[in-house]
Amino acid sequence: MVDYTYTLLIPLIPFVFFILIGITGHKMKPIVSGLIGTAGLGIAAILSYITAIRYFWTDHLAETGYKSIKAFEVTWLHLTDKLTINIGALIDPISVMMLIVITTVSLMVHIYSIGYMKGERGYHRFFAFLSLFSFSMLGLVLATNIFQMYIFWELVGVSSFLLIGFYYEKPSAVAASKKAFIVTRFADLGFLIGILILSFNTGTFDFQLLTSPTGPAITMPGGAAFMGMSLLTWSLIFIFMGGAGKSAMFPLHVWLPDAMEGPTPVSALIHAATMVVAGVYLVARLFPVYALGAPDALTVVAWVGGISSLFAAIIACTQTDIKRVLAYSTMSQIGYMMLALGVSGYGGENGLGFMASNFHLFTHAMFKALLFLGAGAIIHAVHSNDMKDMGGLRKYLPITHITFLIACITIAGIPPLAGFWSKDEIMVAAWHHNKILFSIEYLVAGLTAFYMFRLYFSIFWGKATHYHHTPHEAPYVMTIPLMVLAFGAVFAGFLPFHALVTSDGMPFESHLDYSIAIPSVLIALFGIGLATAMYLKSNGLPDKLAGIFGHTYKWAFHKFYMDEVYIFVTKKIIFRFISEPVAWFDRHIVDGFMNLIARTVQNASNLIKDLQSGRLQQYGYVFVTGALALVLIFVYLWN
Amino acid sequence: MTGSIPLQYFLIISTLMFFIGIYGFLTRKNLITMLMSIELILNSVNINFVAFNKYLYPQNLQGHFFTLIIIAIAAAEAAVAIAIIINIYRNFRSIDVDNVDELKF
Amino acid sequence: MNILSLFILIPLFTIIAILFTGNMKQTRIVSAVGMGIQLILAGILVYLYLAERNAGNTAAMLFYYDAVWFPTLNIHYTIGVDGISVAMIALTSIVVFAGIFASWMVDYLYREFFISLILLASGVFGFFISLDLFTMFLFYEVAVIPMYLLIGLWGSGPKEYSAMKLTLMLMAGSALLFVAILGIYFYSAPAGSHLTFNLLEIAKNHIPIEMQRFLFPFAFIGFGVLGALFPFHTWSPDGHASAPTAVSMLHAGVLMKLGGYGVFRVAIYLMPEAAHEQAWIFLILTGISVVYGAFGAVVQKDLKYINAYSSVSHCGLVLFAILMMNQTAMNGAVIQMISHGLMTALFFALSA
Repeated sequence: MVDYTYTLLIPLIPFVFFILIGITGHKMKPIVSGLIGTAGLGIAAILSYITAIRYFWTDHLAETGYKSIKAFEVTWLHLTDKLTINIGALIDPISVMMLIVITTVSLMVHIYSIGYMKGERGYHRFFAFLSLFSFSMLGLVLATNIFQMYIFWELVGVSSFLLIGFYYEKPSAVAASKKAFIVTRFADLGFLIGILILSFNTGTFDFQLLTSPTGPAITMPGGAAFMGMSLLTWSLIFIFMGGAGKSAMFPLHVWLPDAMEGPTPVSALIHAATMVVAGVYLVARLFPVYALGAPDALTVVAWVGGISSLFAAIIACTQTDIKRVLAYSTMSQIGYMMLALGVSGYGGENGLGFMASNFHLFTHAMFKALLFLGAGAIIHAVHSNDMKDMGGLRKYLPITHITFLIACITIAGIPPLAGFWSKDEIMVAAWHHNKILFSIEYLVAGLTAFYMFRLYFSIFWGKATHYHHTPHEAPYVMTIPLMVLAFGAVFAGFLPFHALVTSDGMPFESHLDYSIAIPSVLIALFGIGLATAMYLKSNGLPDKLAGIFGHTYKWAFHKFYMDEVYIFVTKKIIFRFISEPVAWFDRHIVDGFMNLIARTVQNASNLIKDLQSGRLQQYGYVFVTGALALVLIFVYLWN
Repeated sequence: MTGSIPLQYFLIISTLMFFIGIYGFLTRKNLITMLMSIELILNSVNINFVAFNKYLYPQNLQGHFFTLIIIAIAAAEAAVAIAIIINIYRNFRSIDVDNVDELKF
Repeated sequence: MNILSLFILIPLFTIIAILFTGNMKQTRIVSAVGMGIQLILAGILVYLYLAERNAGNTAAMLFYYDAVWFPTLNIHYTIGVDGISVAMIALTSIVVFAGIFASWMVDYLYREFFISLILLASGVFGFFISLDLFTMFLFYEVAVIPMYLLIGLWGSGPKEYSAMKLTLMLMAGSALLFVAILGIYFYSAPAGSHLTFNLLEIAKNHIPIEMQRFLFPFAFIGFGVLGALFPFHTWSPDGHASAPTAVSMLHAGVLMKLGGYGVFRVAIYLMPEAAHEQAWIFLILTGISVVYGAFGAVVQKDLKYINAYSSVSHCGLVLFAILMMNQTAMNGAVIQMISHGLMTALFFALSA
């Protein structure tokens, strides 16, 4: 067994820096807190890379298949003998991969933020929260048991809440952070219920035990079936509900577009690359249980993923806020990953979908973070989020332009860039599993190419708007992260994922299936072509097309009225028909009853209070009468 | 022991005095008059004490002692009561008992 | 000197010291110092307790001390702590200490304010350390009475109404409780032997099941009123909303825990059989509290009301867990009490 205890430091270092910056940050010069935070993440990143190199290559684990290693574990809460909660670090292919993703993107975002957040109030607060987020996210991926994961799951929720609401003086940011927190928290309710069902029946929280093919979860007897599905299936569906909330899957996605109110680096880190893929990671973490124990739950995952990706892609075609387009694109891409997990089997070649999902998670983190950071650079230059205010920016922002273009090509799935390879694997996996899901993904691939290039052309080409002041390229501290991520976006596709990250730890052969790859490239090219025709030069084509689609366009533009549905359900149904009656009942019936008692006592007292008149002679009269009556009784009537 | 006046005469007198006192106490509105009624009641009791002592247990003196104590107490009581009445008069500008039913200050 | 007695003596000495203070500043500082010592003492107590337990002391109650103070009825001053009481004491000292600072700016009758506040605290501490039913009840009353003054004098909004409502409802609870305590007392020992108020001894001599059936609801509801058991919770929103900050903190953070603690220590501990039989009734009530409080909180407009209703919900959860009557749930209840205590106190401190 190889010693990985030091991996504990990877989450702990950002945590220490969070406390340090959080407590002493306001005394430092702003730039110092930024540099400290970045340095902390830098160390964590180096440690992660060392871990990855050791785990995948130098420690010769490949021969026997990549096993999960419990690097560290302590009992955190010893509640009873049956219920103990541990905390530790688990090293296995997906957690190592996630370490790389998180530390890389987080480091890039830290560096970028040094420039982007310059002059903002609460600079150190921003870096403290970033460190808190990094800590939580790293703790989440290293979790050895599902309860630890849940704890960190909530912590990332909190840090996401804090960062979305970073501009807390802006009402829309406050509303967005609240929305994000409540929606994901609501989904986490499902997660918790799932954990409780699963752990109650298996008697363990531990991932290694849960996911072992002979473990208590998979061999758990079907038990009391409820509505035609076993308890295990139900628990996994509930757990997936938590994942769907965090990963903004339909219909719990409503918070993600609004979350773009946060500072752009935050969107890049949390709402594109890391936190939103936590749901994917969760399903991947429990994948053996899903695949071997409850294939029905996996079907749910696949369909939710497929529907979300299509749904989001359609909306993305109509939005004009560049960050919202990217947000819907994120949702769509995560839909891909979910779908890939959903169509996957367990072990060897069957586990292609699992591998593809993680592969896509990896490449997506690179190019989506790049897109967001690029968008940040653009917003930094133009001071607007709306693509109507942009156009012809390629002359002003050369580096941003090139890196953004690379990211767009990657996400569209043009070979040989990273996005192509991962997306292709997903397509293959979907093709072998379900033709309907495959066609959805095929369509989405075309839509993706279309909306990304719509975005690209609207920003960098078209007529040059008159800007109040000439847009200027971002400083190097912002462009270098862009270049690093662009490098990742180009070359990440060549990583041998099929040999490293597989469902059972055993490598398998993966090869390009031309019958699927070529059509998907073609539809991507078609999407790009369409976008070029419509948006390269401004012409009437987009409006005409919008006119043709009419209602569909309007619906998509209003995000299929999902927000309104939520508002309707909460405000008009839950508030009006449950909460307000409850509040009314409480004030008027329960409390009214108490007041009634009080008033009754008061009235009764008022009635008898006249006996105490204060008139001396009345008392005397009563006294004498009483005494005489007593005399009468005792002397004459008693015998 | 003359024996000329029977015990009943004393008792009749004291009973009359007692009820006259009670009547006065309950019907008079003037605090001074009420005080006087109370004195009547006390004195009727005194007569009873002395009379019973004299006729039933002539060898004992408790009845006389009680009477003397009551007289002393009544004197003190009258002093206190008159002080109270003066205070009431100062506060209410009247010594009508019906005005004094506030039960608070 | 038993370390536990200090928890009552220090507040009393602090009160005496406050009487001699000349101005507002001195009063504050004396209160803060007194409660600071209390906090340190609580830390020491936690440490000593853990040390004793680690040393293998498995007695039910540690730091046990017993003295008779009213021999006629065999009322003792019996004190001792187990893990739950230690946790509660630590929680209380934190909240009280914070409460002193939260009321730093009280300037109307400041001396009386701090005296009442600390008297309330001493009642709470006394409640948590007593093992004698009567003494416990006495401390409970000591904690409730200053509440009336604190809300009625230093509160805001309809303070007289709220204070009166709170006090009356808690007193009604006490009345039920007193019935239960006397009932327990008269059946505390087999016929012919000496009656006792001592919790540990009563637990050894089983109370006859018929009496348990009769007394359990009294004890449960009596403490339940303080734990905001539906439908006896309506003092909570009004009381919390009207009370000054520190009092809301103490009330929601600590006093409501008295309910949960009392239910466990008296109702469940002494009358387990009846608890098993009647649990379902109270599970329904507490279940209603949990859901009802949460829904009620959603539509409130006033921050303090939101928090008050959420406290109803959370304390309902605590009572619910206690009624489960197993170790896991009890652990959960204690953790929930502590977390809710700190969380609500902080929330009230912030929303004022």
